[in-house]
Amino acid sequence: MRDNLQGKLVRLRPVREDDYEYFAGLKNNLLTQAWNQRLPLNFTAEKMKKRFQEANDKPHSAILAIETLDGTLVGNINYHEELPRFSASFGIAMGREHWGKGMGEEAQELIIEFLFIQRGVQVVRLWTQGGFPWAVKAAQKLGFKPMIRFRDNTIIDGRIVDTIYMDMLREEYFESRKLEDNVKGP
Amino acid sequence: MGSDAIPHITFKPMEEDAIIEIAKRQSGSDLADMFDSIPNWAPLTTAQLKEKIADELKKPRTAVFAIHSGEELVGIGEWSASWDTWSPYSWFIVLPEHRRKGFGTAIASILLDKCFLEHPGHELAVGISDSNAEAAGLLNKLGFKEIGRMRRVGVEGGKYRDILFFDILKSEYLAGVRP
Repeated sequence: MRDNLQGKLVRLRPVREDDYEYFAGLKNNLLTQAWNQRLPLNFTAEKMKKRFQEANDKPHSAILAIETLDGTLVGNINYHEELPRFSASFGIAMGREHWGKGMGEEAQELIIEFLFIQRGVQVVRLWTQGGFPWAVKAAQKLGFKPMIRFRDNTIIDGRIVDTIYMDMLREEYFESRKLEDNVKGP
Repeated sequence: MGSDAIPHITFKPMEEDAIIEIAKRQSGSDLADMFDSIPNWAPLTTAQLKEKIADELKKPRTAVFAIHSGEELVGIGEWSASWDTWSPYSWFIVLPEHRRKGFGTAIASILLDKCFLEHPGHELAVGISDSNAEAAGLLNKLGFKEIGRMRRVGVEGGKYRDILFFDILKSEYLAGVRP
């Protein structure tokens, strides 16, 4: 039985005081800041701390730091159960210098596993947009299906693009990972 | 009134009498869903409903309104561009005894005009329960396109419930789909 959220490349841990400067940098980078909005590039460590504390105070929610096994901070990942033990959404922000090394994929796998196996949810959701085709591809690789395309819903890098909603059902998770599901849904 | 006639309606502030009317009718109905009353079979008090509406109205660029035909309350609705003026959202409900009289088309027509002609809306999206064939029919008639399904938003009648999403672009609306 798992006793932490650690994989072969990264571990997910509570956020520390000295993480916020790095997280502010992620928010101030147009490639890593958010899923379909363009936020003002005015984030500071202090502002991030406030946002993270508010998010972590919500029930059935968490923002965790992603760090390599040698302790290098590479990003953060968050989830929120809209209906506790039934449905959840998650999002991830990773430093551009750490993309393409499997760390983001593993961090997401750890959160998805936590939600389906430890929490027992029936569906996990995520939101992205057409300006970041790599994000859609990465989610598909994890087993998420694009279910809704809100057409021309937002503006990214001077282009009008779709907002994309993706989800994965509990049975899809267990089938794709060849795991036995001992918790049946309603 | 024939089904093709568009009845005259007015949007009014959500006053005490409309809130009391909604409070009376909410149990087990789609009205409860609209005010996020979970569980929807346990009705809220009038005071709780007022609080929910007041909370909603704290969002910028948001209106919650009663829909009247003459003096009669025929429905309620919301329009909001709090998240993004590019892609606002809206919902409305016609009270059961006023359905199939053209009110849905009339209300949607006004909301689409507001979105695209009086605000900088570019795309308007709507979500409906997958069991609501009547609403799907209205949206299709208005020129909305079905764009997908959010799976498992809850449980109804022992089965998972999905939400179907539809949207319409300003260009499509102006190109002649206006009711």
